[in-house]
This record gives sequence, C-alpha cells and structure tokens, in this order.
Amino acid sequence: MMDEGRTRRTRWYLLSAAAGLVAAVLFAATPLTVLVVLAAVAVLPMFFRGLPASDRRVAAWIVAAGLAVRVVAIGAVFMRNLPQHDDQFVGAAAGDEAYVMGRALRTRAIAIGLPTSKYDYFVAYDEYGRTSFVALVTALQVAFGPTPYSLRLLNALLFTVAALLLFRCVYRTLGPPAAHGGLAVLLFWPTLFVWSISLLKEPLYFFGTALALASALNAIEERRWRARLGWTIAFAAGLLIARDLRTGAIALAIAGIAVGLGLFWVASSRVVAAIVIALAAASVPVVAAAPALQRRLLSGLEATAKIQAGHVFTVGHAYKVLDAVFYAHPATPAASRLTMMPAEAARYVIRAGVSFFVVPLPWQLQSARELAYLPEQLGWYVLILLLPAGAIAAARRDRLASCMLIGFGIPTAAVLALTNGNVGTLLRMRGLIVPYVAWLSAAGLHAIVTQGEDRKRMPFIDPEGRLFGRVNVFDAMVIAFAIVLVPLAYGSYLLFRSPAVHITSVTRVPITREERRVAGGSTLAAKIKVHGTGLRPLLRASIGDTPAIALVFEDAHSADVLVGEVPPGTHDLVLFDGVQEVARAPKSVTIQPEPTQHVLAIGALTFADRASADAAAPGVISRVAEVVLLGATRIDAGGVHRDAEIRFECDPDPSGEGCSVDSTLLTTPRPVVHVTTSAGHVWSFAVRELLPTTPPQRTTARVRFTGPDEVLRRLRAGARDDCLDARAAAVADVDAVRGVGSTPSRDATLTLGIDRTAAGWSYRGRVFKVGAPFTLATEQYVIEGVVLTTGVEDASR
Amino acid sequence: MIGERSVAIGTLDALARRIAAAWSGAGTRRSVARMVDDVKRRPPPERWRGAAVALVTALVVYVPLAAALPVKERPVVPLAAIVLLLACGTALALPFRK
Repeated sequence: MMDEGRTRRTRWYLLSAAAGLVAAVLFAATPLTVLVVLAAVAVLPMFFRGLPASDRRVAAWIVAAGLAVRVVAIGAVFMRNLPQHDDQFVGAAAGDEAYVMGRALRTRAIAIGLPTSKYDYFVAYDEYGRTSFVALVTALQVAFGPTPYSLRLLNALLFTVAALLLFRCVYRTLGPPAAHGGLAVLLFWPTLFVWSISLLKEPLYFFGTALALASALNAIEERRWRARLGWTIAFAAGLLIARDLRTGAIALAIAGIAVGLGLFWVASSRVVAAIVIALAAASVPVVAAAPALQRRLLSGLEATAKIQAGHVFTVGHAYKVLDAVFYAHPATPAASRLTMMPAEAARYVIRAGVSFFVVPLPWQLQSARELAYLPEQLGWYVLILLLPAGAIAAARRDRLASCMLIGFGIPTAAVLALTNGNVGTLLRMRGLIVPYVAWLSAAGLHAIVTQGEDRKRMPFIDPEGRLFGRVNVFDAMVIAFAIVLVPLAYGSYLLFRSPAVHITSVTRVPITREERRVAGGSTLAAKIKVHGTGLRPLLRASIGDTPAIALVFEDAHSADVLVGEVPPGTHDLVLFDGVQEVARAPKSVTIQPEPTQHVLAIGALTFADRASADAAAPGVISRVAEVVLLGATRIDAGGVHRDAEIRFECDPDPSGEGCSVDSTLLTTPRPVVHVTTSAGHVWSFAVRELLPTTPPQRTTARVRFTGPDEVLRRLRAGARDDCLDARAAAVADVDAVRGVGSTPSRDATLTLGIDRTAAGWSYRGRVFKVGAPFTLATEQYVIEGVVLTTGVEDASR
Repeated sequence: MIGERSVAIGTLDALARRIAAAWSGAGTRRSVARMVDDVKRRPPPERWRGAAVALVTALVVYVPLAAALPVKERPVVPLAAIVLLLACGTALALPFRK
C-alpha cells in the first residue's frame, strides 16, 4: 500500500517535472506566444460568463472560428516569409509594420549593447512615429528578443478582447441577435481581420477606444458608486492607451461620447428633437449674418480642406471633394494658401459626406488591389443600408446604447470624410467606424427579418422568413450578393470607369512665343506634342526624373509638354495624376547636349585704381572669361578704365534671345557684366559690342567717303577703326578729294575682317555689301561712306 | 426558424455540429481533461509540491537554454525567467479556481 502511494507520488512529481520541462522549452522558443496563450485562456472565458448556454455556444463558436482563422493566417505569413528569415528580418518586408519592428529592434540593439550605427540612434530616438505602441513593442523585444509572429498573436488577442468588450455591452443592451451578428462582422470584416494580425497599432487603438466606450456606457448605466468608479477608471485607462496612437485620439473619443449623449438627449422625445432641428435650421441664417462666426467656421473647414488637397497628391488612387480649381497647384497643408467662399465650403462638406459613404463606386476601382476590396465595399453598402433600420430598432430597445454607438463613430467619420482624399486610405480607415456601425446594422437586419412575422407590415417576407413565400431571405441575400451584385458591380466598373491614360505618340514641335510666356523665364529646352487617350487637364508630366515645366492640355487626345532643363540623353515621358504614375512612353524624348556658347565682347573694364588697371594682362581671368586684348589705361571722371576684348563662355538665354553671363543678358542695350576673377577681384565690364568667336574673313574693300571737306582731308593711309579686335578696318590707300565745293568725296581702300552670318557678310554687326553704308570711327574723327566694291564679292564671281 | 430553412446557415450549422462532435470525442481533449481532473483530485499539499517541482524544473531548464541562444535572439534572461515564473504560477493556479 505504501509502495503504491510512493509510486503514485513519484509519478506525479515526474509528470510535474515534465510539465516544467515542456514549459521551459516552449518559453525559450517563443516566450510571447506562451504568454498570449495563457492570457487568452485566462481572459476570454470571462466574456462568456453568465450567458445562456445557447448564446454562449454561438459566441464561443464565432470567437473560436475567428481565432482559428487568425492563427492559420499568421502561420501563412510565417510560411510566406520563410525565405527572408535571417537575423536582419524584422517581421515584415516593408511599410509601417517593418518600421515599427525595425525601430523596436534598433532600440533593443542599443539597450543590450549590440553593435549599432548612428542611424540606429536616429531611428530609436526619432520623434516621428513615437507612440505607446512602439514603446510596448520595444519593451517586448528587449525582454524576450525578436517576436515578430507572437506579436501578431498578441494583436489578434487584443482585437478579440476589444470586440468582446463591445459584444457584452451590446448583448446586454440591444440583445443577442445584434451582439452575435456584430461580433461575426467584426471578427471577419476583411480590413479588420488584416489589422488584427498585423504588427500595427490598430488593434491596440481599437482596444483602447472599445474599453473607453464600454466603460463609459457601463459607468453611465451603473447604479452602484463603487462599480461606477471602477468603470470610470477603466474609461481613463482606455483613453490613456489610445491617447497617442492617433492624432487627437482623446478628443475624438470624448467628442464621440459627447455626441452620443447629445443624441440620447435629442432622442428623448419628439418635442426635444423638433426643437433641436428647428434650432439647427435657425442657426444657418445666424451664421450667414455673423461674419466673425462665418470666418471661424470657414477657417476650420479650410484647415481640413488643405489636408484633403494634400492627400490627393499622395501616392495612390485619389478622389477629390473640393472644387477642381483647388487642385491646380499641389501644395503641402503647411504651404497651402487655400481659402474658400461659403458656397465652395458647402459643396466641399456635402461632397466629403457623400464620398465617405460611397467612394469608391465600383466603376471607380482602378487596380487589381482595389478590385480585391470590392466585396468589402459591397458589404459596407449593406451595413450602411441596414443602419437606419438598425438605429431605430436599437433605439427602441436601448436608447442610450444605440445613441452612444452612433455618436462614438461620428467625430472620427467626420474627420476622415473632411481630410481624406485617398481611396486606399478611406477603404482602410473605415475600419475605425465599422466596429460601431456593425452592431446597429446587425440589429437592423434582425429587425427587418423579424418584421416578416407580421404579414400586414411586411408583405414581402412571410412568417417563415421566405421572400414572396418562395426563397429563404438569407439564401436570397447570398444569391443576390454572389450572382447579381458582384457581376453587376464588376460590369458597371468596366462600363463607367474613367478611361485609362494611354500615350500613342510623342513628337517634338517648334517652340512658339506662347510657350516662352508660359515658361515664365525658366529655360525651355523643348516642346513635345503628346497624343493619346484619357488625357486630363490636371495631369503632370515628367521627362525621366525631371518634372516638366508644364503640361498644356488641349483635349482628351492631345497635350503639349514644355520641357525645362533636362540632362542630355534619351528619357521616358511619364504622366502623373498627383504623384501617381498613370502613363509612360519609354525612351520617347531625346535631349541633345547643349553646345557651349562663346562670344567675343568688346567694351571697357573699370578698375578700382590705376595699379590694378596696369597689372591687368591678357589671359584667362575666370571660369567663363578670357581677356584676349587689352587697351591702354585711361582715367576719366568715371574711374580707371582699359578697353578690352573678352571671350565669354555664356549660358543660353531662357527666352532663346542670345546668351547671358552671370545672369546678365548680353543682348540688352549696354550691359555691364561683373566678372569675379580667379584672384577674387570683381571687374566691371561695360559691353559695347558683341562679335562671333569664329575667325573673321580678311578682305579689302573700296569705300567712297562723303562729308565736309575738312573731315575728308583728315583721312590718311594707316587710319584705323576704333576697335581693339583684328577685324578693325584700316585704310590701306586713299585717293584725292573730289568734287570740292559741291558734294566732296574721297575713295579709300580698306583692309578689314568680316563675318559670315545668316543674312550675308557683316562687319562689326553691320551689313557689309556693295552699296551698304560704312562708318569709320577713329580716335579723332568719324566719317561716313558707302561700300563700292568688296573683296568677297570679287572672289565669289 | 429561418436559420434552419436557410441552406447557407443550415450548412454552417451542420458543419458546426460535426466539429463540435469531433471536439467532444477527441482523444487529445479527453487526455487533457483527464490530466486536469487528476490534478484537481490531488490533495492540496501534493498539488503544491508538484507545482513547485514543475516551476523549479522550468527555471532550471529555461535559464541555460535561453542564455545559450544567439545574442540577436537572446531575451533578458532574468526578466524573462521572472515572467516565466509568474506565467506558470498563474497557469498552475487556474485549474484550482473555485
């Protein structure tokens, strides 16, 4: 007997040790999973206590199915990530999940003394993205090591607990059908499902807000002061958890509860409701008559509109709720100068409200990823359609609970509606509203179905729930959803969606004065004609990575793209809607390298003093200037000068009218260029004339000079035009003065340098041909004449 | 009423009944239930001594095991050990709740 007892005890202790061994191994392998499982075992049964057996079974099945699907999904994520499992892996390949885990693991590396870099410190201590969720994740990573998958389990548990908190409230107030229906929607709503197994803050935020709402509801309804105090503390805890997980989280939660209580009061009687509606109607003219009040309201809406307009230009599929003119100039909310008139603000509010419920309409879905949201979008429509019936039915059963559920979502919905402009964000962020709408929609569905018992009030559904006495209403809904709605929605998507932007041809066309005006002083390298389909006025163009100056819309099939400074080479033409690429024509734009322009400028340099002037010598004086010739130093009232010929390397003028040096356009009258020499001196150079840098053609010419006899007699062989350049005309031979007294003249033979231009030969910028006027200006006199013969003319014969 | 006549819900209900039947007849579940009953039937001194053995074993195994993990995977061992103690203690206390 004693032996048997000893054996039994030994077996017991061996089993205990084995249990400890298993616990140790499991805990070493995945500590957080062990804790999450223990927490789930301890916490979840609490939510089923006190329920009738049948209701408990239904709720338990829903929760068990929800958890099972989540565990399988996390397993699938694990399998998908298998190839990436090395010690650099942070639990997700990209996005916010990777950021949160990466930040936590960098902090962990700093905390436990692993090798780190400066960037680790930057990320760990960055103010951006600092939330209590990041702190929680960091604490878990530091304590237990990397836990990318058990953290997903923890999030799934947090989400489920939050759903059950609301479930118990709804079960008590609105009844089992609403509670079970809402719970099922919450646990299997696609977006919420993905959130609940992510590494994101959303499950913790939902837990915080659900705790706040459930606690507020219980605190209001509770009659015992001690219990009321407990719920108030839980309410504060909920707010504390949510406080920094989303901008204005506490304000949104408190506003939600205030709106709920306000609705509760309004719905207390028809008289109160009528008075409130009348007051609301009366407030419209009051606001219209009070400019200060109106301005305040408008400035609030302008602030949200700036955020909305900014969202439209983020990556992804945008939708617009402001008038089109507000999207003409993309700007960040901080830089935006958007102001609205009352009518514009009213249109904005109405569009935002409608868009919140209907966007994206099935035909607006643009990508396969958005198309995947189609069932959820249709489900959303169903929830919204059921909501009015649910709100009425729920209010009849428990006015406070129904008003609180409606009111709690309204501030968040309003902020989302007014500030959001991105379809993807809207689809995801509606997940913040669904947890409060779902219960009421479930109550609505139940109300509609149970009304079928009364034939007079519900003639289409018989007491057995059959539609027109033929098909079960549930089956009808499933059939309608699967066979009618989905194909119908898909068909309408194909029929009515906006035509995709498609480029069919890209051709280079000449730049006109109008394009130069549009360019507004910017360098205009090319004008490109784009032909295609689906072109729209607010598209933006880019040549490779360089944004174009403008896309000038002509019609849906044609637009001009004005190209600014683009590196030489062959580039893609890319069209953007906001920042979303919508079309690309690969290697369609070729930009030739811009040849460097040079010009010879004749003018006078001004120096600070004589010593500087005397010290100046021909040669390269800066990166863009080379002194070719220098004249003698001369001093006058304007300072110390030396005539000079300088060869400049100049930039093309944006308007195509010459070139400029140091932003000084050389073709303007009497330009003054300030040249900073390599030695650091600044020389002012007053340009008198410009010459080409190509060598001139040397030639001779016979010129008949006319004028007063006294001047003609001064003309001698060896006289030279007053110009430093080698082009300067020199008198080689001169005849005697003829026709003294009447029209005296004197023929001379000149040698000079001329340049070939598009208009023919030219001498110092003036036309040089037989019969053309000719001016010889020496230091002493100026004399006018006419060209009689030219050497180039003879040569061409 | 409506649920029983709905093909969709009827199918789900039938599936649920089969899963429930499988769960109630599962050997694993019955083994776990037998073990929990066995623990519950033990006299308190023996129960607590068994719990102490399990906890000590868990600690003795866990600490060197965790310390041997690669540095990038390694937890803060003392802290994790305390959490393990608390978690196991809570878990062991769960079946003894009144």
